[in-house]
Amino acid sequence: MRTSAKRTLAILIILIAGGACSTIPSHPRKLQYPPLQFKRPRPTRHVLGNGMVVYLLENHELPLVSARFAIRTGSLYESDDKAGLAQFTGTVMRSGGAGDRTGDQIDERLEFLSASIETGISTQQGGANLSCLSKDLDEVLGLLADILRRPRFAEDKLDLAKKRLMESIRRQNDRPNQIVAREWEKLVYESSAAWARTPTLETVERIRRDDLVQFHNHYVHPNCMIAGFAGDFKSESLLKKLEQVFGDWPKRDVAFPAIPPLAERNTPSVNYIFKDQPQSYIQFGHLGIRRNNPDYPAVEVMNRILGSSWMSRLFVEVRTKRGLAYSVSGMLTEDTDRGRLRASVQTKSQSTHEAISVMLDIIRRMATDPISDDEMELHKSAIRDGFTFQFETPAQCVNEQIRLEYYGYPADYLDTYVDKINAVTKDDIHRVAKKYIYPDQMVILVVGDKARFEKPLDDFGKMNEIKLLKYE
Amino acid sequence: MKTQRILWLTTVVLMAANGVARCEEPVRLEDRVVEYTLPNGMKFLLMHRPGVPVFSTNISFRVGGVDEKPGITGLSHLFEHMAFKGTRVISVKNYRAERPLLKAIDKAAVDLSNEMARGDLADPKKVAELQKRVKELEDKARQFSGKEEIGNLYMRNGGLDLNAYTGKDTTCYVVSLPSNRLDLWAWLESDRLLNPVLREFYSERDVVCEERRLGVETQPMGKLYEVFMATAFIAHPARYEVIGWMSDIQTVTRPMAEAYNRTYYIPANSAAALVGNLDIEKCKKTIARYFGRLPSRPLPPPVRTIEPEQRGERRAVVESDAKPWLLIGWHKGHPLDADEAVFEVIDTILSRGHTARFYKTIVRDRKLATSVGSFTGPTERYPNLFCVSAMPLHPHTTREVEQAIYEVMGTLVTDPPGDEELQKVRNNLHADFLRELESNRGMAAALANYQMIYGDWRLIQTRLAKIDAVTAQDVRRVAEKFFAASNRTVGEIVQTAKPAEKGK
Repeated sequence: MRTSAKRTLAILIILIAGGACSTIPSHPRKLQYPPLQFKRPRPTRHVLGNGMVVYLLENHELPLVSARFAIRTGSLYESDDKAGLAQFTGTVMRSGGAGDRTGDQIDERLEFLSASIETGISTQQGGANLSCLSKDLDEVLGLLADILRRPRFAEDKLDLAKKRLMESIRRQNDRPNQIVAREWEKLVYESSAAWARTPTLETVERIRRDDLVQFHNHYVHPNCMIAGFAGDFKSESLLKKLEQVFGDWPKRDVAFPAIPPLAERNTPSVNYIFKDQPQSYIQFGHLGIRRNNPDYPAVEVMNRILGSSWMSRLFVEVRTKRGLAYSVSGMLTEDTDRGRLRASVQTKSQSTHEAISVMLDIIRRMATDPISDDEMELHKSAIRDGFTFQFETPAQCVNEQIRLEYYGYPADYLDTYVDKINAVTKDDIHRVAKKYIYPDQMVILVVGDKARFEKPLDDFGKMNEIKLLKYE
Repeated sequence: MKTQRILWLTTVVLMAANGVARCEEPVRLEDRVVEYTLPNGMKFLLMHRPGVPVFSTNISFRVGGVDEKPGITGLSHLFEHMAFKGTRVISVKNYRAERPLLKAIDKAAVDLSNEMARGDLADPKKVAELQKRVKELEDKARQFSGKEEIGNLYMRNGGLDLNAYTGKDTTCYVVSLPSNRLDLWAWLESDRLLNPVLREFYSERDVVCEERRLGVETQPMGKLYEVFMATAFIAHPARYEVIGWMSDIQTVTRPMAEAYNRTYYIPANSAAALVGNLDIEKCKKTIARYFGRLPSRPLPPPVRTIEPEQRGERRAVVESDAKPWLLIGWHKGHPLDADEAVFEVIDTILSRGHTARFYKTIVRDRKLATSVGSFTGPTERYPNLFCVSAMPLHPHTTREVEQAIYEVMGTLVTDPPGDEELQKVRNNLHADFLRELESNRGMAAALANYQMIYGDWRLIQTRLAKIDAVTAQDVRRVAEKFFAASNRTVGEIVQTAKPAEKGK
């Protein structure tokens, strides 16, 4: 009797609970959603008299302004024997003082205002970022104009920047993630290529203040800049202000040294660097595609299926099913010359061989294994419905416009992107996988301790050991 | 799904009435956040923001590393991984068939853990056999489960940044979605609180072991941080790294994780923040419908251990092939103490930017280190440390840098901040608040975490008045009281000769 009463009570509770939740569907796939009203915020585009391009997007929710200036330059254009020059030019342009102020005076003023101006030059872009309260915009913009136009490149700040970079060179083999990232790029680009150039103690030592002055003079001109502002300002008065601080800066034709093109294909290789640690850091792949490749939408869907998302084949097999790694990924990227097919994973030493084999196999089969309807729909709708997030903040909208113009994407790129994703078919994905993934050209790098691997790396090809420089 | 060492303390401060920013209408958080509490005790903090139709969510539970003890270190974080494995409805094809297999796996796993607990005395044959059995059974159970359905559903609906974070104090689950997908969030999140099934537990345990190797065992600073905290604290569970000790991760079992879930994942021990382009009234109805289903349960027990007063300097050394690092920490009071605002001012004076005292003296002028910074941690729910970390510049030693750090900190007493230096601190902390508001994710994280850690999200706002009131005399008093040699722990990485590679 007692058991039966209990059971009745239990059934009753379930009924009551069920009743209360009658509006909750039994499975989330049954949920219906109202349509999403979304209009992409569009920055306005302006060109100053001297050729400087300016994007503006007003937003008055908060009393803040942020800005980015992209400068057409990069460490691509420095010479091998002075690797690090572009980086120093970018850093000391800001730290070394400008106009009638020293770097320390600029620091004091900006930090008192809780504003920031940061400059830098990376491989294929230079830039300045600004952030301030909107009430301080005029003053901070004046400082930025000085920094871009009238940098002083003080010797003592170059000396400090050199000391700090040399210290980071001495420390560059302390962490396996840094080793893998740097050494694999060198391997895949071949170490002489401008794309994989890294400063050394010797090249840094060689750089003089005059080199910075010259580099700046050569590249930093208004017609080589794309600026973008987002936040709490009035476009009309900001444009006036920009003309005021930049208008008398004359344009100048800039000659860009030719960068030798990369080889079409990589030579396969298996490379190993010893590090006394219980986990292997593994990266492999080869050169990828150039920017503006018409196949890019199909490549993006392929990437998500292969290894750029949580639901990808690599993630599910290597992490979820086999428990071999916390982090695993694989994707084909585009770049100027060129992107990479890059797969990476970190796994305990004893499963090094297994992780590489499994991943190579999944990547190899990307061109032939059937793609399910679920995979297609999942990844296409993820791109479609997640598109909104690319424009979440005004600064993101502006930065995306700068990026697209800087790298020469067509003006309708964002307007047509979702349609192009929708049009991608399973055949397209097999086609691009066949066209751009070369299983016989894999450049493999493993950082770890081979004495603990379950099988030798020679199974993948003759192993080449790389010895890293030791620093005192 | 990574462990966090983020410190919320110094990140968010509200504009006061005398704020530095020219703002036509001062930004007042209180006017913009709607607090909504369900009868079961679960609190929701809702904030509408104009702009594109998206919103970010953060559900925070008051459970983390400080709630652990030896044997279950790392369990808060491991459970966080398991929360993505589905429920009786999600990520499963046939729960009836799966259930008995899960029990059988547990049985083998408990035997395995007991054998492994014997350490060097464990029978390798028995361990290998049991490991094989656990793996075979988990593979067998997989035929009845589905894969990563939570991720799948969020992703196909445009969800972004699906993730979770475990710290010493809280465990947070986050995702951002298009505004019309509120019901999906409410469905999935309430379901994984109501009906969690911790499937694929033992393969996920292996994933977490890899995460530990990645974040601690192959990272010089990770190794130092772990030993440093275990030295600075001798009694309080603040001493364990969030990821847990390897032997604990390798032997914790599913029934232990289920018990943990029942204790800590209860409505009154959680707060959820939703920030973005949302209809607040509609939100409340949806929340009540879905999360109202969760039964009320009593609050979990507090941590009773109190860290005894430190009586004498402690030192921790990690030998490594890496270049030297330095980490120094002083015990301070509870983050809810009145002196907290003073520590926040001290942190800013010492470490923020290129005009901070550490940078100016040690990096720029004396060129002894490439960076010096300060932070508080590892917990915010219990008394914690004021820490300084530094990376020496060759050929200077950690001892030289350590000495320079003490000298600069001594200036807090001999040369306390003047009006301009204090005003700069206020300007920066006021502006930080505005910048925090720019991001839906950042704001959601701040609201949910302040609620869970300090018991009141309004502290984001009210702490600013306290910071504005800090005087030079306060800075001097606090520096004199806390920064004594007998109250500090010093940790350093010492470079040793590279071990010779073993041949094979």
